[in-house]
Amino acid sequence: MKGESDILKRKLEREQTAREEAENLLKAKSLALNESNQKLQSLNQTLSLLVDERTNKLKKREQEYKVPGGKQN
Amino acid sequence: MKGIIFREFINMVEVRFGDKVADTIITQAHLTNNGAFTSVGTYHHRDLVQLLTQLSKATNIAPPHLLQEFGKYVFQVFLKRYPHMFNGIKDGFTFLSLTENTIHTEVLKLYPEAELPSIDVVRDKHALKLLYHSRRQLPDFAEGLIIGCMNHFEEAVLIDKQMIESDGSKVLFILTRK
Repeated sequence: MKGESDILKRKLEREQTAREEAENLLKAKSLALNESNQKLQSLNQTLSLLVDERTNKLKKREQEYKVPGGKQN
Repeated sequence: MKGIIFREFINMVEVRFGDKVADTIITQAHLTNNGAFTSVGTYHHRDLVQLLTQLSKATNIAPPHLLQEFGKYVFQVFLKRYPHMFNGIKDGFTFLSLTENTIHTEVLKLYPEAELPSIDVVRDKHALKLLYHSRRQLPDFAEGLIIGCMNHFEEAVLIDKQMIESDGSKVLFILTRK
């Protein structure tokens, strides 16, 4: 039965190599996912800072218009 | 070409012709990765051609016939793996009409690099015209998928196949209900 065990041995080798390849791919995808998550998070922070800043500016403007004699530029 | 195709090809060979034939064709095909395919990987189209050629040699069955059988087999695999894709679908024409917009869209979400055939569909009450377009030139495989689909929905149809391009990159299938 030498032939049959050889066939199984090669099949096992293929399965192992394929599993390792799939694991490596998964690792690479996880890293990429993590990276793009971090990018999104920092982008989100920047955006909310920008929103705060603009909101404050607007409020300030509003106040200036409300106060009689306020600067009108 | 996506790994699932290679995996399922080898699975089919093992199931239909046995481990020995699978081992022989993988060895003879001189594949780039010695046949260690994962379903999530991407491999060269040439490797499938090599496997097919070797299987044809080993079994004395012509490649187009093997490809058609493979298409039928893969339809069963899709059915098992993606049952939700069949939810609420009652007939084969409806399912085939969804290939391009629903199924291929889902595939691209998972595998943006996948190169899929385009399937344009025109449908009337009794017939479905399906224009297959792919540089992979696997219309026999597509035909097997179509037959597998119609068998699944237990519908009898006549399939008329017209080569638009002689190299098989563009083929029109006309399905008529019997």
